[in-house]
Amino acid sequence: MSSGRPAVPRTVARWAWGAGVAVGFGATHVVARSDGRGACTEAGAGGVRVVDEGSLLIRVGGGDRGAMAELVDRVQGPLWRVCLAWAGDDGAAEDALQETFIAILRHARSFHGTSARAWMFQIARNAARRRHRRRAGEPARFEGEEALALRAGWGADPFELAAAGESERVAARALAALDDDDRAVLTLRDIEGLPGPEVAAALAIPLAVMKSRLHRARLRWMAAARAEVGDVAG
Amino acid sequence: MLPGEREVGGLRCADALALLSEWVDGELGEGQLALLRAHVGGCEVCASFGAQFSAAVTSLRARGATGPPADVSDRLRARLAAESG
Repeated sequence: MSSGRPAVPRTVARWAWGAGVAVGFGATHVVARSDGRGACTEAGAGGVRVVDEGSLLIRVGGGDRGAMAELVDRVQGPLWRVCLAWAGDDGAAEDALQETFIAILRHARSFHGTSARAWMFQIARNAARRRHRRRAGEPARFEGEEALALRAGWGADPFELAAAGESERVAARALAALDDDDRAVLTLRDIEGLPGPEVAAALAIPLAVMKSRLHRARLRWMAAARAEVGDVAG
Repeated sequence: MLPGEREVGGLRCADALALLSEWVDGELGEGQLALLRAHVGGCEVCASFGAQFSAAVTSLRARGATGPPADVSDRLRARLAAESG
């Protein structure tokens, strides 16, 4: 990653395209990869481990319950966040999450792509969108850049998110208040940390369009968070 | 005062604003980085907003560490156990 990027927690799993790697994974598996595609890397105290989710899917397709349990451990976090992003509320997200894993269980056998994670994200996104409960509210409308910057707080006093408990809720509600396109790009790029070109591919848009959408989505999220804090403060 | 009306260090505030995402993503070229730094060095408003923007993106990235609540996870496993039962 480049310099100048704000620090992120070391425990955050990062999606990485890498060269071929062969690693020992625990005492029971050796995962030899001819290419690095479809792998999730975790940076930890012991260095980088590569887990091949594609191999896990193949084993799940073969009825291996241990592999399914391991897959749940590995990806319930990311898939939960994707479901939450697209379904918009906890109840719908939970239903979507269950539906997603059941679909994975049933269709693992037919997975044949290069990216297990992208395949699972797609299932989750579809499940969550089907369950999205429409909220009454203003439809997203085009907003000039200056107006958006002002709403995001340019020129105003900086505001602090409240104490930890509140700030999580404010952040979640600000995300839920966005329209689907904004929420999608923020979820994939910032929350899930997928590299820009992968986000563009996932959303089927050119990289330059993804970048400008991302920028506007970040500003809109800031504006929504300011509005939430304003509401809380009465 | 609007971001398009003010210029510091050879850059309008609106232009500096437009660079913020690439800045936090480490994607600015040297020339653009120098321009942005020159602007932010002389513009309190953009210095403050740049810090807020950076904090906002950090906040979003930190959400990538949160998994489902324990009860959601428990119900998921129970459902999967029933399905593969």
